[in-house]
Amino acid sequence: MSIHSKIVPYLFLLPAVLLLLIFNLWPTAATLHQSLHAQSFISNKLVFVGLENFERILKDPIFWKSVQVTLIFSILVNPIQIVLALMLALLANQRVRGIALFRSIYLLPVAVSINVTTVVWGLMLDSDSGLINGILATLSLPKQPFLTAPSHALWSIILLATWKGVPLWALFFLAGLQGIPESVIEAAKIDGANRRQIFRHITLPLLRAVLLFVLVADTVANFLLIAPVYSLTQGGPQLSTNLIMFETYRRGFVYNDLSTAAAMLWVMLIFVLLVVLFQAFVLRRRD
Amino acid sequence: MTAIGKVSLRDTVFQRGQSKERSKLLVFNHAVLLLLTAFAVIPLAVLTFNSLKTELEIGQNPLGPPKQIIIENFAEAWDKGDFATTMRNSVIYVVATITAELILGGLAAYALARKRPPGSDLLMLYFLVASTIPVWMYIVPLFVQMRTMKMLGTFHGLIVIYIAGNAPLTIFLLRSYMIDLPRELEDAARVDGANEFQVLTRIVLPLTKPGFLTVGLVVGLGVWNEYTLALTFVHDPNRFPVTTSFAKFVDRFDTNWALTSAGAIIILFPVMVLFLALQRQFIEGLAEGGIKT
Repeated sequence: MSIHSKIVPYLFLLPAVLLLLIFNLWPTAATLHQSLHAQSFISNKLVFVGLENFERILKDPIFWKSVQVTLIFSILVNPIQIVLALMLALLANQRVRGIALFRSIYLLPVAVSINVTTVVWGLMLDSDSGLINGILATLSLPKQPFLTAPSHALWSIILLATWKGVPLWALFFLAGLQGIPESVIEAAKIDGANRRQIFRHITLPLLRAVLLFVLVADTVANFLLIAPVYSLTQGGPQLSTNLIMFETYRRGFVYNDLSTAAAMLWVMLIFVLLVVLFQAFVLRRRD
Repeated sequence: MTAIGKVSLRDTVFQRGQSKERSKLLVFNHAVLLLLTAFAVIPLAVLTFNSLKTELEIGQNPLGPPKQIIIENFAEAWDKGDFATTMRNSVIYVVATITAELILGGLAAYALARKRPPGSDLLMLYFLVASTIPVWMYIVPLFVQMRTMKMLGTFHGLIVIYIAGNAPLTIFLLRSYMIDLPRELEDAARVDGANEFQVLTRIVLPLTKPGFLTVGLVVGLGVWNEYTLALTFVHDPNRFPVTTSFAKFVDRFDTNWALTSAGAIIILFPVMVLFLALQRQFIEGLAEGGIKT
């Protein structure tokens, strides 16, 4: 009985762990192996080079430029998405007429694939016939080179990511808001609290766990963003949208330098690991 | 008397002020709601409009509603994109992945939430980190692996990759739905002679249905919209999913925006219907599970 009950949990875990071992952990580990080796031009075999690939990355100005672009992108896109998502969720959580319809409508972008999103926004942002330039023209404002000027392109990527990202994160906020018991809010109202006070002292603290989750998940998701850059700008113009994930892709698949790409992946993986551990740490301390 | 009069006067003034402020706030809220809805809807409206126009009209009127509705675009896009095949394939990929994922993930999540065998914390940390790594980060070694295992280009090969790719998040989320269930019911069932598997299927599963539904929806949406992995691991057009139909328009019929838009709508339509139908349970599912670690 006791041996049996000790084994059963592992039996339940076995299929998932086995699958992940073969199709997740092993290939991830293989990229580490790759990052410590270089392809020999003569024999086409892997030669151990230690940390050389990592050293080369750290000396590469294009890598640092992509780090810079990624940092600027993250600093802009994450607060924009989270603030808008929280606003959206608060509005969707009200009891006003037509709210169910509104909820259904604003959620739609979540269901749209990133490929379709990219194509649609490519159309909208087109310099000549795009919707946004059409609107600007009717307001007799000058046309904007949304995807073709270094000063604009990153903002266009931010716009696209926001369109797709905000409803998704709002969904998590809305779920969190609906989990807050009505009685707590009512009690605060009876005590004379105004809306701002209720939000500041009741809603926000009760949303802490969700907020932290969204903060981390959003940061990681945007950090790994690649599809719009791939289809719309290819990292350009003048590397202005060369996010680190796209730079990794370029190394590996455009320049065929898999070892350097693998080393970059591990630099990014360590960053992601730190963010996740930070989340786990903060959440645990709260409990 | 006077005191009561004063109080009630102040109360009414206070209330009137509040209701004025309230109605102002309502107007503001509605305006913001409208703006955000427009932001969400306009790109999709343009897409729908263009799917109903001739190519010529899109040139002259790229944004507005169609003057004449060309429903034939859909028939043409359906044929050119070979949607009859890709639609069937995508349904296979989605249904197989969701089914296997929920069984596999449900079992693992139950063990982690309820039994906590030694090593659980380490596994949880691994799942947490793994859930943030997209599959194509290790796509090259995975490709080599699939070739060695002779799973390249097969239905089950791609399905297995989807299951493994989604497993960490699935287990993580399902566990958070199970961890707060009251244990009494399970114990009662055990006293009645149920084994662990029966406890899971008869007691825990029905109670965590919203959680399973939510995770199923998230996983299904991801698989339906997935493109890169399908293109990498499947090479036979008879096994391609819907996203490759769409990519065909964008690559090959570069200039034909009418067909591209119609293709996009064909891919979106089934998902939207399902999504809108399940939206309510979806939000409730998220609310119930919460995001607990």
